[in-house]
Amino acid sequence: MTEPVKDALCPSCGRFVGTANRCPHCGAHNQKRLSIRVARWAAVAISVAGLIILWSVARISQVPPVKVGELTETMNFALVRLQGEVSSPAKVYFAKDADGNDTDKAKMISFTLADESGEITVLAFSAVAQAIWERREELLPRVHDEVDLTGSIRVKREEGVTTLSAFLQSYRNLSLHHRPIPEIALAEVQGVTDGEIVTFSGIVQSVTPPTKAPGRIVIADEEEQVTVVAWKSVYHQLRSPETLVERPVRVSGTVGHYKGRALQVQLNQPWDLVPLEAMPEASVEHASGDTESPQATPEQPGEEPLEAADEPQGEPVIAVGEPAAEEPPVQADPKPSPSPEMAPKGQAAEAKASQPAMSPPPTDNPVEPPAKALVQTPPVTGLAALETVAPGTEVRIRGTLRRAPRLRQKPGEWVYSLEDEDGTKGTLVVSQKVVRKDSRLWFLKQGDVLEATGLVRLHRKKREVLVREEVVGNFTGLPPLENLGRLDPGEIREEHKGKLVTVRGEAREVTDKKGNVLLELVGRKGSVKVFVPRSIFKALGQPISNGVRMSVDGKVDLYKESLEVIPGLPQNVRIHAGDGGK
Amino acid sequence: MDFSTFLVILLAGVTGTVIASLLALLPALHVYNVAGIFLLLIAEVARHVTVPDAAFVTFMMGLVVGYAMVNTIPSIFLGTPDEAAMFITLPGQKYLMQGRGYEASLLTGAGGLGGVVFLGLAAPLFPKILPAFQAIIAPHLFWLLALMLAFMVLSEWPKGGDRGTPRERFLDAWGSLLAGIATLALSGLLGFILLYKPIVPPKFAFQNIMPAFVGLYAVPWLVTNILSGTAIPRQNLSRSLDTDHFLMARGVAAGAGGGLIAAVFPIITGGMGGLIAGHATAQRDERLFIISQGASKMVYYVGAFLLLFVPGLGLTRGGLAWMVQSFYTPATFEDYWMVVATILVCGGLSFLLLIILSRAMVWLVQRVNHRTLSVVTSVIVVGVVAAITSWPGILIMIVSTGIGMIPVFFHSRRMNCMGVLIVPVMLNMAGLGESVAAFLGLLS
Repeated sequence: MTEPVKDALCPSCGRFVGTANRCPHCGAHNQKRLSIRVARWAAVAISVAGLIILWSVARISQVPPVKVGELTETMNFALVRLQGEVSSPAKVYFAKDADGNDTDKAKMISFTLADESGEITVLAFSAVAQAIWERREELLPRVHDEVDLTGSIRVKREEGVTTLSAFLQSYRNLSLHHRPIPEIALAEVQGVTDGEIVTFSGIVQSVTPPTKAPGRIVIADEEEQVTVVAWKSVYHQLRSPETLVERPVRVSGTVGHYKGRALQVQLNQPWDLVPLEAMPEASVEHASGDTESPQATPEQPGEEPLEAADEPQGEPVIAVGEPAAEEPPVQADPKPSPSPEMAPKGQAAEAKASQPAMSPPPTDNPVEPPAKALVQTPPVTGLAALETVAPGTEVRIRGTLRRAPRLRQKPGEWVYSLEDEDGTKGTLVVSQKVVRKDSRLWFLKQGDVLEATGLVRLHRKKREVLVREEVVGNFTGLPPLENLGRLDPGEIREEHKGKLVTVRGEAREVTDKKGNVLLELVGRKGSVKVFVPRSIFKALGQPISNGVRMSVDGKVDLYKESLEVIPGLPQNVRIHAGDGGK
Repeated sequence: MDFSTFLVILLAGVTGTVIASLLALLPALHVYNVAGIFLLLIAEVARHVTVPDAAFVTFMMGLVVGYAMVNTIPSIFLGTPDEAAMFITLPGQKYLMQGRGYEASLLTGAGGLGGVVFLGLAAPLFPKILPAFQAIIAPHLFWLLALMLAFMVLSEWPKGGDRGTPRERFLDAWGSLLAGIATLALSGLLGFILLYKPIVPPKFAFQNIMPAFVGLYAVPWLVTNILSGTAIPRQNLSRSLDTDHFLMARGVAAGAGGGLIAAVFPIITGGMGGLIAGHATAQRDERLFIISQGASKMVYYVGAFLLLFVPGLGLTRGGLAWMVQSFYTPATFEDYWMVVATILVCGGLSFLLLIILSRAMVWLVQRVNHRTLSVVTSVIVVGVVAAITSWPGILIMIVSTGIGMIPVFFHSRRMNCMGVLIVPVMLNMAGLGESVAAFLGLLS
């Protein structure tokens, strides 16, 4: 039994009054002992003084810089400083009006930031998004801009995959260093690597307003034509785009291939399309066959390919590019000024104000030969020679795998580090689509010799060879792999060794072998061991538990007199149901 | 799912319930204050042993259910009220002073069990109703929160005595009201600092707000217990509960309504939800109040965590859901029904534990000085804060304790301390948070 503190009782009626100064029963004044009076006001003093101290500490404390790769689950809600490069275009989502049309009020902006350790999605909402939108020329990032930001981290683990986001609390916490956009002739656009942003000039041939598909503006010079696509939200901000037909324009946009085939340039911002009074001299010269006109090949590293069809239909998404006031350096001089009356809606005044800036200084970008000619350059085999080959050139390379291939998560490409006979190192990159279709690529290991044909591109300022489906990656030097198709685990025999099979069943006896997973896959007719290498298990991002049903595509191998099926890719392991399957 | 996996999952839920029920006996120790430690432990174990995600989920749900049911014991037996303030105190504590603490505990538990049944019955409807409901209210959250905040402040009534000169009565009346407003303002300022410039080490940022809650709620309770302990009268162990089916149904309905408001709306706690539901349904009966509090608590704590699992909703409400989401995000109906089943199993188990533990507490409080219990708990909560968040967390806890003590010493509502979240979140929703943070110099 506990006793009440003495001065918690009323001195008049003797009943308990706690911390009250006057007894609520008899109204008698209850002068507290010093300790309680002190405690009462100490609470106020501690809270006020403590808040001042806490506030001061918070004001002077520096937000710790971290690398993306260092972020872990326990760092959820951490305020950190991130520095890196913008690796995907900013997307702006607008609030809609009652008719479902976009307003000029940004409700969300997102882009991705990459540093050497990983990639993170950066998000800004409501007031912060609107503040960035209002300062878009300064603060709206485009691919390859250097970015320095402070944000609150959110770590979310979903279906075995950890997603990282950084929430911007203020536009003041974002600073960008814009990279200049190179200006090239229209004919050179097709030689540019997907994902690069370029500026070129031409005459508008036709304008097709957006429906479910984006708006299309065909721009041509005397030799070539290029389709510029603009999502509804961008297109509708253009001022009378239909009047642009047969008018010269200058366009900045992201080069890509629709479904990997048709070349297109995506207009990221309405002000990236600037009507001109006349065709720039350089473009005219180029169109008349003057091969000595200066041209630049973009120097930014390669990025994930743009596939406009992947954008949500009708979504108010803008992939954002360079604002007009920071138009790129231009090779040819003089340039005609843009006509302000033709500028995008709301941008006429800005266009007028920015007229002087539209006659930019010469660029420092290195001048390279026309891309079109380079496409016809004979392929090279030496990896050392790649350094002299322009991006967009088709080459054949050959080398020995220095290590097991690794997956570059974004945009989903397998990276093969090669070394040729001279000891020169090089990188072959193969899209996941190609790898999934060619099972010979699943089981490559260190020391295997690989020969492939692909396009040279720049990635983080280094050249690498990319094999994408549309280029028809022609791999040679790889042994054929016979695919037996689907078999019951109990049907696997020794004669199947070295062949590809697909088995399905229930996982039993799942054991961890130093990070690798060994399990018994039980089917209707029997069972077979499945060995999931550490790298694949890690990429699966989910546990494999006893009892789960799963399918495995893999090569049959014999290990310690026991047959095993070994998958070559994370996609080869498919978990259908069970506890580990979520 | 084979039988052994099923057993592991079931065992995890039961273990969570038992652990939370025992921890809930310690006054002021909130399960969310220690959930972070469990998460870290589980993450460490998962590095060495394959732990099914399902077991992790059921363990966490067991923790919440066990806590929501059993935390009524310390609030009745170890949060003894000021006798003088009996007319404004909670009916549960009034029961205790009448020797009916055990009955109050079981009445609350019965309400909690009603809350479990409510969640079980409502579970099939949640995936259909809540996504639409959420879509409707999402654009209006700012002003809804502002209304609730205004209601919270305006509905506080003067607690001074009705004797003395008009000036004395005026000062008495306004003393507690001003203390409530001051608590709200100070905790709101604290919230801004913590949200915009947290000083807790980034490595443990997922427990960013924990030291503040320990300071605002746990430590003041413990200090009050230590400072103003009182004699607990002999307690009776009644064989029946003073209620009927109709009263029970009304209590559960009112409580479930309040709990659901608190679960669905961000930042709104069970107390605030209960306050709103209580006013909305004009409940007067003390028994009704006790039952509804049990139901409200259960629906608030468990329902908020359950929302994380509702397919198609994707709503993260409550501290535990935010913590768990970093490690696991459910996606399927299978996950959903598994946690609903866990709620039912653990709800039943925790009620049985409540009966046993209430009896044990009746025995204990008449033999053990509950100041000692409060001192032990103080050591635990301060130890947890120090271990996870280091000295910055201790600093936050001290400041928060100062704020949390104001309503204790000046007799205002402790729920004003929720300003720590409500004020910054509401201003953020209104688009003003950034400007206020910039004014305070908190933007780097």
